[in-house]
Amino acid sequence: MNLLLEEKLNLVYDILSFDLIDNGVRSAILADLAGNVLVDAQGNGHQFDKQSLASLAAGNFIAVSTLLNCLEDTELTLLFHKGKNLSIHFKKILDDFLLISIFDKNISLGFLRLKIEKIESFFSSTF
Amino acid sequence: MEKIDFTSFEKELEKKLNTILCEDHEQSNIPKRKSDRVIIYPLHNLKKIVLSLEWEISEESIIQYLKQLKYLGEIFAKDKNITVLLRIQTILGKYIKRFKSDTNPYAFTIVQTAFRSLDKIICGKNLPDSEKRQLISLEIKRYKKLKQLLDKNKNGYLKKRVIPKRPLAQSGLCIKKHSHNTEKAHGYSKEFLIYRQLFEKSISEMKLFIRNELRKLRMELRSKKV
Amino acid sequence: MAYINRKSNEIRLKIVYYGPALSGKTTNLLYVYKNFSKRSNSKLITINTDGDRTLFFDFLPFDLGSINGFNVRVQLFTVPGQDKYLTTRKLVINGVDGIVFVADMAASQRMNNLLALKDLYKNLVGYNKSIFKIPMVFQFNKQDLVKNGTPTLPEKKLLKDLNCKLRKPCYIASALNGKNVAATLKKIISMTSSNLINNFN
Repeated sequence: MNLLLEEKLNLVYDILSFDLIDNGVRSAILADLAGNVLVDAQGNGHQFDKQSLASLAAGNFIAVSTLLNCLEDTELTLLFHKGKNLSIHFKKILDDFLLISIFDKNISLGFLRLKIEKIESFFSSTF
Repeated sequence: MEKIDFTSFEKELEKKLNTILCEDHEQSNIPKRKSDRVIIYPLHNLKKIVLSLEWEISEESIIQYLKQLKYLGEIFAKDKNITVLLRIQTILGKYIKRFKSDTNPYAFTIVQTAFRSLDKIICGKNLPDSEKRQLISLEIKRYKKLKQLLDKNKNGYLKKRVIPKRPLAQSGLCIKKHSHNTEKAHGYSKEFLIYRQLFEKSISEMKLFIRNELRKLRMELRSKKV
Repeated sequence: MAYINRKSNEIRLKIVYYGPALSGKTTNLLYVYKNFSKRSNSKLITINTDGDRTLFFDFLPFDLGSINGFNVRVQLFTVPGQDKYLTTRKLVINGVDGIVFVADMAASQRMNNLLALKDLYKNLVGYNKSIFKIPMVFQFNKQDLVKNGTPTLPEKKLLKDLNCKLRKPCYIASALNGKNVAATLKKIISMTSSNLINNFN
């Protein structure tokens, strides 16, 4: 069980806002693998039901990981869905959390992955 | 369509269910590979790399990108328009390679647009010179815009911090209120301020890099009189 | 969705175990898997949280083999019962052919049973399906609680709460011990396949 201090959640929020939202990502949600929203950083754009999104995202992520287990491949290195206007990227962070990023065509997936890699290594060293 | 005889189906189904759910306490066809086509298209490799950069930016892919640009630079050395576009892409490649995740996202947009302009110029056999010049000037404008975006970062990110509403985690995680005194400036934690400082350092270097490269590009353009 | 292929003589049915959180839906599938999977060549797929709560669904394909010239395959699903997964439940119920409503006999779960039934009704309406017409079986689970002294709802009360208008078949069960798990499954498979064939004919 992971212990999360409130100040750490504040830090996560600040990092997500700074590195993702301020760079044009529409929304960055940190959820646990049960689909509970822990941190929610929003940019401009229409509001949506974050809890449902997080629940479905967690289910989706774990479903795909389970699918990989059927193929005897244990590591999910990229999970990303491209929509007509918005795309969604999933990244498992620190074993217990899921970072869900929603972005539009102004942000390239490569750039987003680079940013998230940086964020992940910062979180690994800090938490 | 022939009807299904349900009575006999039902009987057999019941038998089967009783057997299975009885509680008695127990080509392959190898996918064909697409044949390799010989493609007479000079940007084939560069295109592959640029498309892959959309998906993943790694040290290796950027090195390949710069190598390919250098190679094309040698092939098209006599074409001024193509040389300028290759130069812009080289600057961006070096910028991304040096600053990695601190790169401004607009740089990646220019990588794509510059490639598309290059593709149009190389593949557009009857493209008039004026249009070629227009494409190039567009890319230079974008490059200048990148410089402006970096200048905007000067005022930093210490905007008024809105304390977010955070629901308590419900499964497997606990949230405790911190008991230590943490130094906070403008409501930000020490760790975040350090994180931000590192980025700001990058920003100054980035601005210097882009400014210098723009100066060199201007000089090249003047000397080549594009 | 039910699938009949007259050419290949295949029948496929989707049965969903529905009900409030922790009522025993997954336990039902686990029991079926542990006791009958070898005979039917099945593999159980569960998508759970770390705390073993269903996150997305559990899935157990159940091959009945050849019946009257037809290859019959049943797909058993469970839904996550917790409130926050209402969108997920809606997804899983898509294309359902038969439902096992697993109600919790614990007295404390009376309201949750009713809410889950209401949720099921709404989700079926969303897919233009009627709870009155769809093949459905009630399973009043956790009969084993009686032995522990935990207050439970009597059968009459459960019937009145959940089944007075629907009038579906009911089974009192204990999924943990396997009581009436197989009987519930047999019944729903029979009802679903008869409904399917009648519609086909």
